[in-house]
This record gives sequence, structure tokens and C-alpha cells, in this order.
Amino acid sequence: MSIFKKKNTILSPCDGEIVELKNVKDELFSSGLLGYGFGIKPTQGEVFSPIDGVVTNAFDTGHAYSIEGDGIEVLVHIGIDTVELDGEGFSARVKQGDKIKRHSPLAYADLELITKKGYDTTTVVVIPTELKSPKLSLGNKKAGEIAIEYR
Amino acid sequence: MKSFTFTIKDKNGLHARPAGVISATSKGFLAKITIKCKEKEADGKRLLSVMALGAKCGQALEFEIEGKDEEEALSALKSVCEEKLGNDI
Repeated sequence: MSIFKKKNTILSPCDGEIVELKNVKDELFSSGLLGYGFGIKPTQGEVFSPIDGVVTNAFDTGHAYSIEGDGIEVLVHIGIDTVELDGEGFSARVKQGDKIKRHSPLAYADLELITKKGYDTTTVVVIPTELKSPKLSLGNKKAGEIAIEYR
Repeated sequence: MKSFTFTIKDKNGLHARPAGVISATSKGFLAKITIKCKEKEADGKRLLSVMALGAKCGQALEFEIEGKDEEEALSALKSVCEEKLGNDI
């Protein structure tokens, strides 16, 4: 194996404040049962892919995406309980089967509308596959900045 | 092998939350758990595999459970389905 192997990283999907998963107001995600991850309180609605990979699922409702690549799987879930909006406020930038580069557009979310409808816009990134010694970087981030490093 | 079929009543279909509970529940058992919906097939222990079924309201999920704790897995998954996908809300 090359000693120049790049560090494994998962990027922030949007501009905003990264919080620990346990502080996300969704019992299922915060329980950690679905995997390691984080929440981000977005300050703008453009959402980008956290990893290089293939879009394995893009929900019709535009609020959730799964991407597989680099030997891991990532779920990006925009907002809490936003499945109930049935697509309102979301525009997908990808479809199932698309190849996607890290930090390229995944979806657009109309944060103002989602908030007005009474939903929390906190976006959750969970990694259901095992990560080796993951390290989360909290606080304000720009989309594309490193959120998680792992071995 | 044990099996059962469950028809989704939740109008939002098999979205992240029920898929999460199904995969988390499935992981608690040794049995191999396969979920079929239409022509697709998912590994019940993998969240994203279950979500990728894209199962909608009114569609049937066929669970196939195989392993020494299949009996317990069957009853746990049945109640999870009833609780998370069985309400017409």
C-alpha cells in the first residue's frame, strides 16, 4: 500500500454549523443506531455530496439521498421529518445511478419554505458502514470542508 | 425459513425512519433477513439497501428470514412493521 494514500474524509454537504448526531432532534438518528454521523444546521440550501461515489438512491421526495463509494455508504437526509412535505421545497440535482464527485451538487432545498412549513432544516449525514476511528470536526463549516476524518 | 408479507399503509411509504427501525431491528438477530418488493430485493440489515427498495404506500413487502433465531426475528419485525408502517396517517 502506498504511504501516500490520501486521508479518508467525508465532507460537509452544505454551509452551516455541524453538531453531534446525539444533538439532532430525531430520536432514530440521534440514537446512533443507523450509524456514525453528524447533523448540520444549514445556512444556505445548496446541498453537495460528502463523498465520491454513485447515487444508490434518490428519493422521489427529494429529501434523502444515498451515495456509495470509497468502500462506504452515506445517507444525506435533508431536514427532520421532511418526507411529509412530499417533495415540496426540494429539487434533486441527481438521480439514482448517477456518478457523483465529492462537493458536486446533490440537491437544492428551499430552507425558508421548509422552515415556514414548520420543519427543522437540520440535515443529517449518517454512515451505516463501519468507520475506523472517525473524528468529527464541529462548528461552522463551508460546504466541501472536511467534516469527518477516518482511517 | 420463515416468511411474512406486509402491505404498507403509511402514506409516506418505506422512508428513512421505518427503514432505519427495520434495519436496526434486523441487525439484532443472527438470521439472514431478505426483503422483497416488486422485482427488488434488499438485505434487511442494511439501511440503504432497505431504503433503496423505494417501497410505496400500498405495496407489499415480503420478508424472508432464515437462521436459528428466525422465530424471534419474525415476531419482532412483524411488530415493527405494524408500528411504523401500519398506520394510515
